[in-house]
Amino acid sequence: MIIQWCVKGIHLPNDDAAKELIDSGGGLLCNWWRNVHRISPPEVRDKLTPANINRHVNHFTAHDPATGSPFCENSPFISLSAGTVERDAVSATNFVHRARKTALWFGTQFGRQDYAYLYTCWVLLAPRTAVGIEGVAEEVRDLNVYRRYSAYQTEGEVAAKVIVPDNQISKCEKWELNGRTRRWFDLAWTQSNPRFTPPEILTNVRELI
Amino acid sequence: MASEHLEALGLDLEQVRTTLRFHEAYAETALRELESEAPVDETTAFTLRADAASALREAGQWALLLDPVAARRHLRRSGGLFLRLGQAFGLYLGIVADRSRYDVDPVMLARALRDASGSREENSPIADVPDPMPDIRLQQQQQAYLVLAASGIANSVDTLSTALPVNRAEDVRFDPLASSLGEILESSPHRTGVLPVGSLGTPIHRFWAVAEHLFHRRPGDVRGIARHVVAMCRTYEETIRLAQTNTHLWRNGAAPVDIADLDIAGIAALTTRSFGEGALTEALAEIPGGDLGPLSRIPVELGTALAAGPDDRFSGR
Repeated sequence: MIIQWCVKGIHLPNDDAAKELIDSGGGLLCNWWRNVHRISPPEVRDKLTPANINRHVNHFTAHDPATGSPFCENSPFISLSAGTVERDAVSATNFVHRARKTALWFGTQFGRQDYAYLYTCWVLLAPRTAVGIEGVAEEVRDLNVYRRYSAYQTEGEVAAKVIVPDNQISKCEKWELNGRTRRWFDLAWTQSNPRFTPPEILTNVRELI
Repeated sequence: MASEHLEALGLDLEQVRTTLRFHEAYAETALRELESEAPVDETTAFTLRADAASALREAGQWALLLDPVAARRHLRRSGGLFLRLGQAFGLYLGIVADRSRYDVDPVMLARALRDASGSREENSPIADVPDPMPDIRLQQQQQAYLVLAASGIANSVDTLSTALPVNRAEDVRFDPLASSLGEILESSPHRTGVLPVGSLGTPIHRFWAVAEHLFHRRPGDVRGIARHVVAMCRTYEETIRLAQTNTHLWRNGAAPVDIADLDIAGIAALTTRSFGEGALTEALAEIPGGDLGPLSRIPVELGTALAAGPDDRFSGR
């Protein structure tokens, strides 16, 4: 397994709502859970399918034949940004797409909002596709694993499943356009999560007994 | 003109403004991080500089749809950052962006051209000039932008060097830039090469041919450029139409395409400066296939406006 740091960019109505997401201890929930309020293990099994991860990545806003609603409203996956490298064979150049830029882009709703909340968290990644395994995230940005062409590969996405537990969220940062000039994003404040567990707890280096 | 372009592209004015503002703000954020008091290592500095250069390049393209003056400012800054990373594309952006003259040392440019062509004359008067693009020999796509940039300013009195050693500077006929450019244009295999370059994957021989036309400025050269521009505009239209099929990315200004295509727009700007306002449009009207549709001619019109608009360097902005 790989431990991967990620960022989740979200637009929320105000600072209270952003801090509540940390204070409540509830973690980052998928849209499906937030929408239906109550989910069950058998339902989770049914939701975590290769077809649904494809819909989540490539047809997020398209009509979902299973629910009759846009897929995004009931997706069991949570999009996280980890950054990625794009190989441009034409210009013989590798382009780096940074996680923070993608998180700001989505968190500001494609630049329409003046601020975004960025949640820094870590997830466990499987080294190959394992959509049905709830405990590991899917590295959809990795072309060696997800080999079919996707127009969204450069978003550097890691797809967590159902929930990012509260103690894997390190902090929430508010980034906003500079109040006076509005020419750059400033880090307005940071709220640390007192219940955060550093990922080093999972190290495979053992001490002597 | 802006509303016609937006209509042809199927883009909303507010989304263009929003996307432009995001890329501007992101570039400034990266630069502020680079210049912050906290020390950054070499790799991080490279990443931040490249990130800012790329965001400014994006901002420049979106600004072209609204305001050539703002576009020029963003492209010039982007160019400066790319050049600092050793990329000839930065030089190209800088020269395309600036109406009067990009602040570039012609001897330095001549040195880069010599390096690109593999010419190593021991007694060359420019052999000791610092090399701004140490990897240019291996960066074939960058060579395309290097010859275009050089052709945009070569054969000008201002490029006759005053920075040469005294023994060669005495020879007033010696123009190191024209000499180096002429040599690479004639001798490089890229003259007939098909290596894809730029966001449209244009064969490198088109860049070479356009650079030759810009360099020689003979009667008929502008029609030669127009023929290549037509081919590139057709590819641009096809690329944009493909991108438009993903409505989610397109409407949010997130499609992975060059919205204003800086290859075509840059060639249009350089041609306008070399041959005069309206010369490219007239040449397009004279050649077969030159009657471009509203979508395919967008980058030509944007590049022409870039060359013809007021220069912010002198407007106090």
